[in-house]
Amino acid sequence: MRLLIIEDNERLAGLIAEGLARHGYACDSARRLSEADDHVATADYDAIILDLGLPDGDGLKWLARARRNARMMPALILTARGALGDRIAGLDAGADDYLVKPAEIDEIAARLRALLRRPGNRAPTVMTSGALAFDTASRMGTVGGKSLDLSRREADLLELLMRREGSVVQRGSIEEALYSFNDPVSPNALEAVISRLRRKLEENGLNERLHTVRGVGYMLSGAQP
Amino acid sequence: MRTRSVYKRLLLGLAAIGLVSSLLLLGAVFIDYNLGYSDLTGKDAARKAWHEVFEHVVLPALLFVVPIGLAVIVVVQRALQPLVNAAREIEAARDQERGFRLDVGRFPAEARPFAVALNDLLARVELFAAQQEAFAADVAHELRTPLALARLELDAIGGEAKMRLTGDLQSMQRLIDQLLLLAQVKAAGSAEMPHEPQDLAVIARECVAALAPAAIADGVELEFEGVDGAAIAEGWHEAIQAGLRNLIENALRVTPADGTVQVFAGPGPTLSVRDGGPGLSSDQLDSLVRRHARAENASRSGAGLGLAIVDQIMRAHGGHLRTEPGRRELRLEFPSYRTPSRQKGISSMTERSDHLDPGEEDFDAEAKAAIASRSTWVSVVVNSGLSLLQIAIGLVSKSQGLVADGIHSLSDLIADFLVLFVSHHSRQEADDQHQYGHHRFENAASLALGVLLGAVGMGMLWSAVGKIEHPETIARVEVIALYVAGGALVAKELLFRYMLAAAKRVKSSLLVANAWHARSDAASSLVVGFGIAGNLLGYPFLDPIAALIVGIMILKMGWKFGWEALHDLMDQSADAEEVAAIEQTIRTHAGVLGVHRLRTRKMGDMLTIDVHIDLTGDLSVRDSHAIVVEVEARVMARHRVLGMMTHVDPA
Repeated sequence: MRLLIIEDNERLAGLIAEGLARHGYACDSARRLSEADDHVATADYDAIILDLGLPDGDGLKWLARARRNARMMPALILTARGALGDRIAGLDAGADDYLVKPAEIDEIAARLRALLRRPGNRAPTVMTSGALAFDTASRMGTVGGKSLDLSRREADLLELLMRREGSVVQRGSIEEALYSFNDPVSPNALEAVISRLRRKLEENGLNERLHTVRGVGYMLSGAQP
Repeated sequence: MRTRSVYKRLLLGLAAIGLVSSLLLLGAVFIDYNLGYSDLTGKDAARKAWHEVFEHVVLPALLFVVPIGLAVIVVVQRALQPLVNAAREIEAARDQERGFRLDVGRFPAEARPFAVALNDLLARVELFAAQQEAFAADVAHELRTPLALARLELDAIGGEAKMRLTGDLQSMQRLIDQLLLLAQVKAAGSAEMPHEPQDLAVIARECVAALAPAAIADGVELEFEGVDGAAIAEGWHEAIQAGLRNLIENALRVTPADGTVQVFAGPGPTLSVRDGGPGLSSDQLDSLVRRHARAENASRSGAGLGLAIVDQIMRAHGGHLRTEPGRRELRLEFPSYRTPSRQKGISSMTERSDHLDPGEEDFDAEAKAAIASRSTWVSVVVNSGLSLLQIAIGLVSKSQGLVADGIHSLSDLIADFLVLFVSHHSRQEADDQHQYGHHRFENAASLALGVLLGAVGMGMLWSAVGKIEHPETIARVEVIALYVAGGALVAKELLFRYMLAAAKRVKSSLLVANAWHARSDAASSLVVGFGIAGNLLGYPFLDPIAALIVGIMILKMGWKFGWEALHDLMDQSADAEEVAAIEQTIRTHAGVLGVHRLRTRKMGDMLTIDVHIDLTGDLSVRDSHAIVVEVEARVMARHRVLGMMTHVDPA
């Protein structure tokens, strides 16, 4: 995975690049937007990490322009601007995610992983999280190579939770993803699917991974390193 | 210095003047009548002398002093009323001080410098506060990059110190975030807060979802429960979110591992957070909020500026931060959400005016109503003067046209009175006999006016036709009629210009319409002017022909009034565009699957509607009621809808 870090503070860019290298990303960095243009023109990046206040312009405007030119690589904004409303403006301008400085490398890496797992990106078809793996093409879930034997709904659920690993997926979005409008959804249908999936994970030694946040939704926590 | 009431001082002054002038008058009377002490000794003489004194001294003094004294009381109290009002306004603006200014225009000229100086002082204090906040925000903002560097550098170092340093850096980061948030909430104040209805349950779910991963990592259970289906509050989504987030973060910090933090939305417009900590008494909460508002010892308790920020956010929303120590709960209480009260249309004379050019000045509703009412009164006075003059001179100079024009102006006058009268009546609240309010009153009044004008127009047509059929009865008009017709023309044009200027100033489309109406009136004066001139030049029949034309104009005016009122009384529906807009508003509301049988009918200047909406079949009564309440609030907030009946169908 190759990333472009657009950040005017050279030391910060260097530290982020170093940290992300430990997570297996190769990073180039640009200190100005003009430099970033050159980079984007010459190399193919899987994702961009973008600061907003740059010496030769506003990162948001640059991003909107890049998006108009149909460069659809996912962009993560990493900025010191954290006021109410800034986040919305960033996402509106076409950013895929928004982080406020100072953010830890692990957080940045987790967000990048989630971005790259979104459908449509050039992510590999197999998502992994520790021993757990899911192949989006064959719709097979495995733990340490051993098949989980998932039903269609369980597979859909696992895929959704893995794509957003480490964050809570609200019940409403899960129901929308799992059931079409015509499916009669009884109030406890989702609970049943969740508990079957949880049991299958636990049978394979994955305890404490699928969490219930009562009244809100569910979360698959990241693998312990 | 002792403070003394102005009018008491004036009265004392008056009494002194009265006393002195009485003595002087007394002296004058004694000298004038050559009275001496001896004249007062005789019984008769004394009575006569007292009589003189009473008549020439006491009576004039009383006649002079008493009315002036009364006038002083009234004038002084009236003159000082704006100050009393201003004091009340200042008191009412408690907790919303930012952006508050006195309306200088309402002060008497003598007190104006004081009000101006006070506003100036307020502006300086605000500027100072804003500078301080901007400075704090700048500092916080600038600190973020070095902080980011320090945390990343730490990653490379191992050891025990790393954990402690990371913790320190984290609390520093938290403080910076909170400082920035506090500055921003304060800067926005309540005036600029976006006021959109917010579903508190949605906000609570977002916050819980965002904080749950951290809670799970710490082994604390974080859960949400919606107590009531409809917990709606008006405000700024992100600010409420930030406030609740702060409460939950505090709760997570004081709750030990294996404990539970619960977040509730409702009942009513409240959010509450219950934790496993020791609870917080009101005094403790007060001191936390206040101490941190001054940013002393902000980091010692670990709560940081959190509660001060929450308090600030709640104040900006007109709500409160409360503690329930017994239940170990902190509650965010919002003011109950209600649809904004609407007084629009002819009935309030502060018309909606979205289609007019935005001017530079921005008037509040009260000032608008005052200007609207003043220009209406000017038009009343000018029109009544004109019409009486025209009718009188028309009769004297034997010009039928001029009389007709006078009556035409008079019907204007009646229309203006209708506006003033109806504005008063149709605004009355619903009562037992009129349970839907009095908006229809407007229609009834219009219908009556239409019938009246129709009758007058017919009468004039009748008499003009009679004259034209018998040309020998047409008299030669006196020259003065021409002058009056010309004068009326000029007066009406000036009135039009004045009214249009006033209408543009307050951006009222009703007043613009009134102004143009005044100008179209001038057309009748023009016709009559030509008629009279023609009559004088030897074509006598032109005068009744002018009267005929004006008669048709009056008839047309009556027809228009009457026909429209009749339509509205017959439950005319809104135009297709508006119906489509209302349907769009309903259809795009979350949870609404379909809309049909949308029916609208006019009610005065407003609409009442009834509609069927499709909701998911297995919703509880409570949930579907909540959706209906939201839909109705939304429709009434966006359209000129007075009442709405919603029927729910399962989809």
